[in-house]
Amino acid sequence: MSESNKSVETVRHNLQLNENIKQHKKGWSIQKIGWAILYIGLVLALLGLFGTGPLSRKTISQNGHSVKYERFLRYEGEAEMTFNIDAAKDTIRLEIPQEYLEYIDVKSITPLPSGNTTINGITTYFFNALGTASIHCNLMAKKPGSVTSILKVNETPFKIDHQIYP
Amino acid sequence: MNPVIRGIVIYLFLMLVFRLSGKRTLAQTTPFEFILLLIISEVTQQALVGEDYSLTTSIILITTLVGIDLLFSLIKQRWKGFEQVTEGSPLIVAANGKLLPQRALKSRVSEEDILEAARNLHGLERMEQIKYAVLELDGTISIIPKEEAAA
Repeated sequence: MSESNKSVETVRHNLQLNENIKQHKKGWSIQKIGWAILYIGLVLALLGLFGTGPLSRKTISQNGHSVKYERFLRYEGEAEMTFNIDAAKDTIRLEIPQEYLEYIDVKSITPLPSGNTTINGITTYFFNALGTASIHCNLMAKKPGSVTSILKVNETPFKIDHQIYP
Repeated sequence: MNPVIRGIVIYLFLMLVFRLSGKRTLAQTTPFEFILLLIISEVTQQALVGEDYSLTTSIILITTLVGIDLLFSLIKQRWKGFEQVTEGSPLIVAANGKLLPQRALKSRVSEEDILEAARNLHGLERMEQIKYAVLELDGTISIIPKEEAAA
């Protein structure tokens, strides 16, 4: 207990009052800890621990391709994932496994894929492209939990992990 | 998420936040605090129902909130210690015409707050006319005037 709590005035009174000063002192100490936790939580939220912020943003680069996404998502919250493809030749194949789609709903893809297939639990989107291209996926978390999946762009694997808060 | 769990989590979180913020928070609703209260209720409503506006969800949530409140009141009735933990206890912040600075400081009550309560409740003019000022559980300040002031 802090020193200042000990200096709380003692009052002799004739009121029929259940004034539990010991409990008040304990409460004031806990209150200060609570405020500290509250502000730490706020700062962490600002930094993106609960989504949308520098702690949440992640970029993975591989074989000249890269993917930019949010690690921390919130249930029913929307997020973006962008694939940047270098030196695309004719077609881009984006492979998304079913286990990923169980947690994440791909609401829209820009540009629109020219086709798609689902084979052995893997959904593949095809895009006509040449040179440098970007694919933007608009996502929505549909199940709280943790998901780690390998998404492939033209056979280049990207390990994507999301923590979805309820 | 199940609406019952949502309801319980929100209830407990709100109780914790308001307990941590102290009795004086939102005890007297100034116009700004009133707006703040409206915003909190709006945010809470969204977290509770999400996109599900069905009658069933509403009924489940209302039952959950009333149920948990009833349960807490029963526990408080049987175990006073629980009431003191969840709601605290009254605190004397001024005695015999003098502000008790440490108590007032820690419970975020100013001399002005006490004088305002004294004017509102008893039409008192000065601190010396106050026998006791008590910060109650609901965050309001009750005033017991000195006998000569009350007469």
